[in-house]
Order: sequence, then C-alpha cells, then structure tokens
Amino acid sequence: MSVFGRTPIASTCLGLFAGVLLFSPPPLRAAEPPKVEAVPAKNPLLPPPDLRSAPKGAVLVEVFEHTNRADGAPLDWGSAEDKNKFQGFSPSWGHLPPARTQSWLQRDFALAHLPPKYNARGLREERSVPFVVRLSAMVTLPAGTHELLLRAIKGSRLVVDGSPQFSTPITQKILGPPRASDAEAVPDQLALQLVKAMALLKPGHTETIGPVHSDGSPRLLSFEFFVGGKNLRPEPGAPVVSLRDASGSWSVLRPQLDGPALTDAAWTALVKTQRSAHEDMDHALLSPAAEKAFWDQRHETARAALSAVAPKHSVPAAIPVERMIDTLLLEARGALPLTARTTDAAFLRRATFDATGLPPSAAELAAFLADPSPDKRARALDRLLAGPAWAHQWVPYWQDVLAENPSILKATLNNSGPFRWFLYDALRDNWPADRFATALISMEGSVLNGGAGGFSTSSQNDLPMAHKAQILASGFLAMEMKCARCHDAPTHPVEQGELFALSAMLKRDSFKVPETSLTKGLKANSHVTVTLKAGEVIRPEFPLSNFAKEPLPGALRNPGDTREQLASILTDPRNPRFAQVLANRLWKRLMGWAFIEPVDDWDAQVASHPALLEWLGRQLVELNYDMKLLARRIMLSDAYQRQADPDAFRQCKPAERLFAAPSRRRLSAEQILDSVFFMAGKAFESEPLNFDLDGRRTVKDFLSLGEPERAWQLVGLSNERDRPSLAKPVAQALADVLRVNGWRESRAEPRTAREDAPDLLQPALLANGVIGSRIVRLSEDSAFTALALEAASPEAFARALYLRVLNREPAPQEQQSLAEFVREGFAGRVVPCKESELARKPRFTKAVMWSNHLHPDSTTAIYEAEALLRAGDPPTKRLVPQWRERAEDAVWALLLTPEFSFLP
Amino acid sequence: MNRREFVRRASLASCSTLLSPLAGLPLGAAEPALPPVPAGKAEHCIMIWLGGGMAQIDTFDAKKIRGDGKKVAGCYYDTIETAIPGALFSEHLPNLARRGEFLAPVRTVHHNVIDEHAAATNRMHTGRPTSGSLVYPSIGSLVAATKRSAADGIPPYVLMGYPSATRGPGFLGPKAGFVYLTDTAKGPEGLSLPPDISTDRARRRESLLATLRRAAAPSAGRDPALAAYGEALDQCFSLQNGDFLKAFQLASEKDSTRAAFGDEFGQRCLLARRLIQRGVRFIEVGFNLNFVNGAGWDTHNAAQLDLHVLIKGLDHVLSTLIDDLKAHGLLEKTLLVVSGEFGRPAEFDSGGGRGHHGKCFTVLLGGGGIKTGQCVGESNELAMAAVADPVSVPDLFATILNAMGVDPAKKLMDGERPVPVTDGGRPVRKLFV
Repeated sequence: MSVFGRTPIASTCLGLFAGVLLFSPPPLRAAEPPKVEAVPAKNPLLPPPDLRSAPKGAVLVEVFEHTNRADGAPLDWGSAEDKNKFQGFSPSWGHLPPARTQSWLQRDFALAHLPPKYNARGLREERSVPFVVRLSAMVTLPAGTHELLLRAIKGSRLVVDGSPQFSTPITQKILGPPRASDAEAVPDQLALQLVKAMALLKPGHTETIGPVHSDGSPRLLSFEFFVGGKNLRPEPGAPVVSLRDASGSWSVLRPQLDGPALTDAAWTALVKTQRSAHEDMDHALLSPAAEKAFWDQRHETARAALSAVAPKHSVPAAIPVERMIDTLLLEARGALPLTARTTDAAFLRRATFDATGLPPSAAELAAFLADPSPDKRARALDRLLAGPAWAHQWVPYWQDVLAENPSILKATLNNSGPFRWFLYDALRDNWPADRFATALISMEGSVLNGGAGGFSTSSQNDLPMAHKAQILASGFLAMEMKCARCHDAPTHPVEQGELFALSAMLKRDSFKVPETSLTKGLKANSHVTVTLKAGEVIRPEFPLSNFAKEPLPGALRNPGDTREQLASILTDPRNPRFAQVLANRLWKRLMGWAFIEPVDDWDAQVASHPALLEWLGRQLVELNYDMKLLARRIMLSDAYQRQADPDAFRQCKPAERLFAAPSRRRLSAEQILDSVFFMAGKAFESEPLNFDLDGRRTVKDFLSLGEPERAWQLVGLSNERDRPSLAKPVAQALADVLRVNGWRESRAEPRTAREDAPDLLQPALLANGVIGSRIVRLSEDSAFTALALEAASPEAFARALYLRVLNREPAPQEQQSLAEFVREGFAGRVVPCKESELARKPRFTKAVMWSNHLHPDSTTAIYEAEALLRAGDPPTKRLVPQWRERAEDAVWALLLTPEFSFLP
Repeated sequence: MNRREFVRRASLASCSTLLSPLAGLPLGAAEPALPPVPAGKAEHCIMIWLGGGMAQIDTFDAKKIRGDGKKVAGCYYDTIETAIPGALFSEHLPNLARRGEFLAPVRTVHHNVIDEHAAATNRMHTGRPTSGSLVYPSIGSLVAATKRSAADGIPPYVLMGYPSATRGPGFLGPKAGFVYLTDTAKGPEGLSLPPDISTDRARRRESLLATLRRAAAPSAGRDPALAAYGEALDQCFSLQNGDFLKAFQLASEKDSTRAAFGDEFGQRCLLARRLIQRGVRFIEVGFNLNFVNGAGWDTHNAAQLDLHVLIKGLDHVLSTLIDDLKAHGLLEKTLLVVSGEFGRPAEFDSGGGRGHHGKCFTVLLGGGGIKTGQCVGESNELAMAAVADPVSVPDLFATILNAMGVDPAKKLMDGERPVPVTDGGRPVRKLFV
C-alpha cells in the first residue's frame, strides 16, 4: 500500500536521522581529503568511525572507495561498456578502499537499500570496484556471551573495538553456463540457511554465526562488507547483523537492542523505510547549492533575454495570467455551447491521475467532497503537484519520448542504459526543463547503473550519436529526423548532414561518415537522395538556421564543450521552439489534443492556437522552466475543468480543435496497472528484474533493474532463448497487461503517441488474466476485504466500491443493482477468525537465476512458481466463501466497466 | 483519418524505399528478365521454433563424414536416405525421411549474427538487422497485418512460447500482436477462464457487468471512446464463449490422436492444427524444453550427449502433424517452417558440444502448396558453407510470405514511412515454379 502512497512514510527515528546528514560526497571531499597514493596501499583496517555527533541509537553508515586521484575522486571505473577501462580489484580484507565518500545515519545494522552516489550536478555515478560499506555504532550488550549472525553476498566481517572477530567468505568463483554440465542445482534457500525461523536467505548470500563476549560496557561494533568486485556487477545484496536474544529468537541488531524479529515482513518494511529515508536525503544531493545557484542565475538571465524579444502574437494586456488560457481560447472559438463543469469527484479523479498517475484514495476523495471552500480545487492541485509522485506520471512518458531501452540480459538490440533512474531523480526533484535537457544531453554519470550516461549508448548501432540526435530532435524540437539517419529526408526538410552535425556535437568531435550509414543502390530518379559521401568529415556545429547560437552570458560552464553548447542553444529563451514544444506536449497530455499534431513532428503543421501556444511557451520561461507550475496553470483553467467533450474524440484538423473541454482520454498502460494494484491495496510482488541474483556476472551483460513497484519500472523480459527456466512469471503477467495497452517492451525508437485503439485483449487480461484475478481476489491483504468487513449494509458496500473503483458516488440505479447482487448472504458473511487462522501466502523458497537455469530443477521450480501465481492470492478466511465470491464478482464487474479505463 | 494518413498516401508515391543502411539492397540492380515468381496459395503457417539453434549436420543436412565428439569434425550420427533424391537426414529422423515428398529443406540460409541469441533470434523473426530507428515486426505480425485472420473475430497470430519484443508487432502496434500461451493445458492468457471460475460464475459476472453498464448508460452512452472500448469488451466475451476457445479443449480430440502427438510439444502441434481449423493465420510453436538435455537446441558442451532425444521428439511430432494435416485436408494450405536463430558448426567444442554457426544452416519448409520433395541450396562436405544457391534471410522471408500469397515487396506504414515487408528479399523460384 505504502508503495503507492504519495507521501513517504515518516518513520519517527529515521526521519530524524535522515536530516542529520554528517556529510555527503562533495562537501566531504573538500573537508576531509582522503589519503592519496599512487599505488593503492594494503590496508588491514579502515579508519575508525567518528561517532561523536551521532545521536543515541544511531548506526553510522559509511562508504569507502578505492582512489588514486589527487582530488579524491575514484578512478575512472568506467562504464563497463568499454572493455579497456580499468575493471577494478578483487575484494580482499588485505586491500581495503581508503577513501570515505559518503555517509549517513540509520537505525539498523542492515543495509536494505543502498542510496545512489551523486556527482556535483546531481547525477548518479559509479562507485569504485569494489567498494566497502561499514555500519558502526556503540552497542551495550548485557554481560555474557552473545551470538550474532552475519549475512552478506560478498565478504563481510564483524569488527569489535577495532579488532576483526568473524566473517563471511568472499566468494569469487564464477559458476554456471555456458557449460550446461556446470549448472548448479537449484538451492532451496530455506534448506541452506542456518536459522530456519528467519527471513529467507537471499540467493548467493552466505551466513556466519559467531560469539561476542561482553562485560556489560559499551563496545564499538562495526559491520563491514564488500560490494562488487573485478568484472562483477555491484550487487549490494541484503547484508544484515542479527542478534539472538535470551529467548532464542533472532532480531535485527540495533544499538539499543530493540530491533524487530528478522522476518520476511520485517525485511520488506526495512527496505521501504530505508529507501524512503534515502529519497528524502537525496533531495539535498540532487540539487546541491552550487548547482541550484547556477540555474537560478540562468533563469534570471533567461527571463531578461525573453523580455527583450517581442512576442509574435499580442495578447490582451489587462487579463491576469490566471485567466489568459480561457480568454485566448474564447477569442479563438467565439461563442459555443460548452460542456458543464466537472463534478468535484470527476475533477479529483482526473487531476489526481494527471498529477500522480494514480486515482485518489477513498480518504482523499471524501475529504475533498466534504470541503466547502470555494478554492478547494486550487488547493487540491497544490497538494497533488507538491509531492514526488509527479515522477511516476512522467517517467513513462519520457521513457517513450527518449527511447529508454535497457535490456536485462546481454544487450544487443539497440539498447540504451537504464537511464530511467536519472529520469526519476530529475522528475521527483522537479528539475526545471532546461536543466533536465542539459543534464540528459551531458550524458554524464553512470552508464549501466542508472545515470544520465545511460542515454549515451545504443548497442550494435554504427553511429549511436546519430540515434541520440534523432531522439533529441523529435523530443525537444519536434523535428523528425528519422529518415535522415540513412539519407536526406524525402518528406521533411532535413538533410542527412544536418542530423550528422548534431551527432558530432554530441560526440564532441568531428567524425567521418561511415559507409554503413549511407543508403546504397538508389536509382538515378529516386526521390530519396544521399548528398553525403563516405569518409566525408562532419564537424560539430549547430546546423539549423533561425536559431540564436551565441550563448547568453553565463549560460555555459565549459564553453568548449559542444554538448553544453547544444543544450544551451536548445533551451535558449530566444529560440522559442523548445519551450513551445514542451508546452504543446503538456497541453496534449492534459487536454487530449495538442495545438500542433503530432507533438513530435511539427514540420508543415499549423498551430490551432498560435497565440496561446506562444504565450504558454513564454510562460514556461517566466516560470523558470518549471513544468509543474505550467501544468498547474493549465489545470486551473475552465477548459481543463469541464466535462470531457465526447465529440472532441474524433476532432483532428487544427481548425476543429476548440478546446472547449478536454477530449475523452484513456488511462495509459502504466496508469491501468498501477491503479488496479492501488485500488486493491496490493503490491506487485514481482521477481527481481535481474537474472544475476547471486552477483556473479558483469554488469555489461546482466543489469539489475530491481524489484518493480510501479509499472514504469518493468522492462522487456529478454527470454528470446525461449527457455522455461528463464521465465519470470509474475513480471511477465505484469508486462502483458502493459503490452496490450500500448506499452512497448522494446523502445529502440522514440515515440510519443501510443497505439491506444481498443483491443479485446485489454479487457480480457483484466477479466481473466492472472493479474486481474489477483486484483479481484478478496485475500487477507486486499483493501476490498476490509471494505467488505466494514460495510454496514449491501448499499454501503456498493457505494464504497463505486467510490474506490470509479471514484464517484453511484447513481441510485447503480447502487441498487450492485447492492441487490451482494445482498444474498450479506448478514452472515463474516466468519470470526483469529490472527493465527488467517490464510497465508505460500512461501516460494527456490531461487532460479542465470547460474543455475540450465539445471533441470530450475525448469521445475519455475513451473511451481507459475502454478502458485495461477492459484492466486489465497482467499480470506474472514468471509463466507459463497458471499466472498459474490463480492469478488462485484469488484470484477466494476473493474470491467468501460468507465474504469477512462478519465472522466 | 488525418494528416498522417494524408502524408502516408503522398509519400507512398515519393519515399520509395528502404531503410536498412546495413544491407546492400538489390534496388535497381540489373536482373535477368525472368517472369515474376507466382504467388503461393498457403492460407496458414505453422512455424516451429527451435530456440538455441539446431545443428544442421546432425539433422536435415546430415553428412557421411562422422565426427567423434572431440577433435574430428562431422556428423554426430549415422545418416539415412530420404524420400528427397540426394538428401540425407540423420538416423534420428526416420519418419520425416519417409515423408520427404512434403518437405523442402533450405540448406543454405545464412546471416552474420552469431554471438548472441537475442540478436540472432531477432534476425530470424524479423528478417532484418536491428535498425537504429525502427522496431521491425516479427514474421507472425507481418502475416497478421497483411492477411488478417481467416474468420471474423479470431486472433490472426497465436504464439506458444514466451513473449518477447522479437516475436511482437514492432511498429505495427498491438493490433498485429499475438495471443500467447506457455502451457496448452491452461489455454491462452486472458481468454481462458481462471481456474477457480466456473462457467456458471462467469455468466453471473457477465450478467452483473451488463446490468451495471445499462445502469451507467445515461451518462456514458453517447461517448464514442467509451463505446469503442465497450465493443472490445463484447468481442472479448464473444471470443471467449464462441468457437475459438473450443480449439483449446484438446480433450475433445480422440484419445488416439492425442496419444499420437505425445508430449507437450506434440500437444502444441495438435493445438496448432485446431487453431488453423478456426481461422488463425500464423502460429509459432516454441520447442525448446531445455530440461531434456540441459540446454535445449543450444547444444554446447555436454548438451550434445542427449541431442538425439530432442531430434527424435521433433521427428515424431512433426511427422504426426504432417499426417494429421493431410488427413484433414490442410497440408496443402498450411506452410510448415522449422527454424531457429542459427545453425551449428561441424566441429566440436572442448566440452564435446557445438558452438554457434551462421554462415550456412538449414531451415526446413514443408506443405503449404510449395514444390516440396526437393532441397534448396547445397552445402559443403561439413554443411558449413554454401556450395550452391545461398539463401539470404530476406530471401527466406520472401519465400515464406510469397508462399502465403503476400507480395514480398508490399509496403506497410510506420507512421508516414513505407517499410517493405522484406528487406529486398526474393522468393526461392524453384519452390514455386
């Protein structure tokens, strides 16, 4: 449930600690320069932790990296794309990384979530290979001997008062395919683990139990572990120290010995708590003061420059900005019968989806409906737009537009890196659009672990930068250069040389035209022409006329960098195209149609409302390129707030687009998948999007995209090998729902408009698929079960379902029909049931991954997992089965109503 | 409808070509003036996909030179004569050898992608190199888009195997996508009822839904977008309650028929025939049960030891399918394709298995009204290089499409850009003339 919450769960203690950041990477380097050595030294011990400013009960977490550079920055650990780059060291306790690069405070001796490392521009970057994480605190154990259990995926050890006590092994042996005969048997993790009554041991992890003697006085405990290694993916795993108490049960070690029992549920909770704390902590790192100051200055310059450029279209002077949209629309359309203003419920459903990608919760809806104040819509928008949930609504959009196309297995299909995490960071921190574009174009940071560097690659492409230039042109300039990739575009005014000049700017160098990029065998009379010659030198120069190219004062930090130059020209306020393209894109998403269609290819198109489009573009600059503020302006207009115009569905010609009201919009694939889970109060419970669970392979071939919690985090599942043992049944079922609704599992090409024509598989998967079945199943953890138990009458249950699924009050006829359906057996529906008698989900304890997937057992194990999925969540024991089935059918029917799949 | 369609028409006339910068296309090349290859008449296609890559020298392009599983390269098995003059199969294909009159092994297919399965699988599903600017449709989607289904309301393309982008519709969009299943007992995802839902309960649900839709009608009735979704919903139920889903009730076949087809792969092929009877155009049947020998057809190292089990399985099931299609009068109308991402070399790796080989390998065609009973192309003594009549991947795709009556030069639209269904491929003439 909390996964989908719009506000992070506040954990009292962690919330406090997260605010007490001791040091974050950049300031640390300045304040505390690490030891500099040309040859990495052999370090038997890490420098002692400084716990002086740590509050009571806090665990200090520190990251140590290898370095040999005078500025303390790690070596160029590189992208793993480039085999020639340094591949790192093998982990060894005799060779510890000396430089402390990051630290924070938390509560537990466990690392359930590893925060990313950010560079000075707020972009995720790589750590050294390997790196070490140390968790330290003063701990007072009662006098006597205690047992502690360590779990880690690489080597870990417990250090007490500076003296290493015991450790888990550093495993480095790479096993498994390609030799089928080497495949390991599929381990039953439960059989492997030392203590059975404990959270399941994660794949590839090892454990050690050791004694710690205490005389009752405080001791300095440190838990140290390696992450990654030479040619290995930096997999942090799930490292934890557990303490056996007097009663014999094992808890997560905390300095004050008040940790929870180490169970699967406790671990899941810990992941959420730590991640949420880290995301709060990230905000300071995503926009460091210097970066923020730079952009504030740029925006000031931009506004000044804009005021010097007269608009082409004049707008009425006396109209306040809040009224401008409706005024200009009315001017263009004249008097026209308008649709009615939306009901409050419809407004909230629409606005909540548009701002967060999810429907409103029942509580939010009730509070909104009950609020009598006249400005409640404006306040609701402020609330909805304030949080980071905006990112969940917009990451999938930019994944499409910018062709984010990672592969979790041996990327060979024109794949990019997983720069989804860069998108997520930029959007949850609401970076201004110019900073967002500039950071993307810089392609800085991690290539394969989530930075903007991921945008730089296109596997198996002879000119990756031409591909990127094409993506940027359609994304930010609405110029379609696809044809120019191979020849001069026959239907667009784009020559191949222009695309290539942009490519050279991205490449930061001149290059020679490769023969493979030129269309061969053209007939003399062909309409397609090739004006470039193989071997011709292309220079990095901005090729398009009508653009101001001389940067505004202070716009460039590295004037010689052609990527920065390109970003600066694109986002320059004197070049109105960028801001207008973004305004047009935003308008399209909120209103259903854009001023200029298609939004990614403006060639030869006319705007339906040139004055309004220009005004919105200028507003974006006035608003410091803040897309949320521009969205707020649109969402506050009367036009946005009217009932959807059914006739606008088919309107297409610019002259027919009047925008008296939004057109009817279907929910996107991501909105459908996320919202059904949100409604049911359930989590995806997907397999990890990763084949290398035991961290034994290189990141070049095996990405980890984590355990998805929102739809945009899914990815094509790369089972081109068609091997049953490589299947991920849950993730596949989730991806199926997305795919039939227009999501692309391969995004090699940029695309904005999705195919959203209705198809029978869309309702079919909700009606009969394993995901639909999970959603309607009234299991112990279903939010619908809670509604069913609470409802005072069949009518109340019917109303609650309408509010939850369709976010509105039922009409009397609707309420009566649904109430009638669930009336039979309603009075006697509840079965008294003790906590211990509740239905439990079966625990799947086998781990199938690349290193054992060729073993016959792995296929059997996957079949078992499929069978579990198909059986669905176990039904609640708290409701009489016959009535429960009726209630499930009621949920099913509402889910399948066409209304559910649309915005009001 | 709109601008896109307008430009589409306009540019059909102008932007004539072609898109793959990587392939040297024969556009405008001087060709001998042969009459055009006549279009085939196949109405359906079953493509059996041997994921991992079948060793041609151990199967349909067997050679008398025996390999020893170590240093000496060659066929791992004895060879047998076939009903195709001059063609040898390995000893584990006796049933198919006898049915050679219905088969046409294409022994000289070639491409250059052998380092990674995904890329090669993509090549052999789309007929194209991966391009920088476009995601190409799979052969199943090409058939779905050009031929639709043979009966109203029936999905044109069914996949029995794991979904991947490579098997998907690419730029053609979801309309040309597949319905899929991974287990014949469970039926297609989304169309068969969940295991806990009886037909009575399904009726009850549908009836409640109908009631709620009627109750909502005053507010939603006029909206064409909602109405279009409602139609999709109705189609879903009519498909589910109609004849199509009966195809998946394999139990309604005679026990002897089910037994003759045998294991899960056999049941998939039986199901394929039942789908064809209901109008499905293209069915891809995955046969890569990797637990049989560890690696399926990807017979590196020790996986070679039990390769014969897979080959015998293929022999048995495919022969049964051929007989069954014939008995139902469907063999002439149904093109059979047995394909994989690449072939394998005659040499052995250090573990006694075989690596990847793409320079020359075999794709088996059959039935479908083409001129079977002959081989296309000739390979060298180790089945590793073409000696005569090499067949490019585009030519193979042109052959498959032509057999189904689809012009290999036909263009489909990616937005406003016309994309030919094959990358300049030309059908293998002797299979049609």
